[in-house]
Amino acid sequence: MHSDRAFGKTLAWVGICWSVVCALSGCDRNHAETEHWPNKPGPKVVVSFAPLYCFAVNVAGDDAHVKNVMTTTGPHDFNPTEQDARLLSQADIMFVIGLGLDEHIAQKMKDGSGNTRLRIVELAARIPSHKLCEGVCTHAHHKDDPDHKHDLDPHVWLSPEHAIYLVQAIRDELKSADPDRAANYDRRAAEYIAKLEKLKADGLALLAGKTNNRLVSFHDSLTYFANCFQLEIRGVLTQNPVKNPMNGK
Amino acid sequence: MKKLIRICTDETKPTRVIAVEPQYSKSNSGEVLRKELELKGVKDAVLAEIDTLETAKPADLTPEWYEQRMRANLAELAEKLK
Repeated sequence: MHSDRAFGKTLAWVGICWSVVCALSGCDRNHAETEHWPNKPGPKVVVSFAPLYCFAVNVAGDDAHVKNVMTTTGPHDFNPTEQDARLLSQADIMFVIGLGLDEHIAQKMKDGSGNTRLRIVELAARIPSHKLCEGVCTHAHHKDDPDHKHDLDPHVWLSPEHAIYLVQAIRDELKSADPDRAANYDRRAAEYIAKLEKLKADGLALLAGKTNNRLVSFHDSLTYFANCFQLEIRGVLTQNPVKNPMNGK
Repeated sequence: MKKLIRICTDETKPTRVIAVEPQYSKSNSGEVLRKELELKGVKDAVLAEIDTLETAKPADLTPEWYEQRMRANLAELAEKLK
């Protein structure tokens, strides 16, 4: 019993000490965990958020180092910290989607990092313009203006078909930054693109035969996904996922 | 909300699946619509959890994460769509 109590006290102290260390070091699970890079050759790559991490790391293999910035807070709500900016201080390339989603955050981080040689690459710029979609319109104030324009929908990663363009852009950037390992980047990109093609084919097969393929989406995010997998988005619950969509009820 | 109810209850193009995102509260959005539809007599509207892959816990983020989450989304829709 006595030793149980002593163990409990030790555990409590460990917890307190860890909290103090985290507070002092600016530890925040919503953001990138560390600015330290491995001490070996190869491009140092930062990506804005999770899907781009997967695309980049599958092409990079062991030849480049990839770190992700946004973790449990996504690009719609993210505010970079000093720690995030420090992550960029030694990086060579930062991959972002662009289309208004994350390039401004990246520029803010670059400015804060003092790394003027960092190259920010907007991957969606490599997608042919005719394959990009406008955001869904549910704005009541546009009802008298049928010709009004909207920004382009940035959620391209949700279509494996569009993801292939992003992977190709990553491959080309890595080859340009590290030409000695170009063949490795080519090989790994081809392998990953084959997986993305299979993902699309498997998805279409899984949903084949559905007589009702219609859905309402939560925020204006599923257009590319729906187009890729032959679904129909009939409505959107909210334009801004941070706001409560029922406020206007 | 009225517009969404009209869309879902349109007899020529009935819509029964309401996509919700795991990072946002179900009770604030899709669930309210589902309950409103139930009150209008639509008993078979369902929520489908679709991850838009905008967030990931560091521990979950592996090279395979994208494919796994996309396949989970597709499996969820395969189950919920008729």
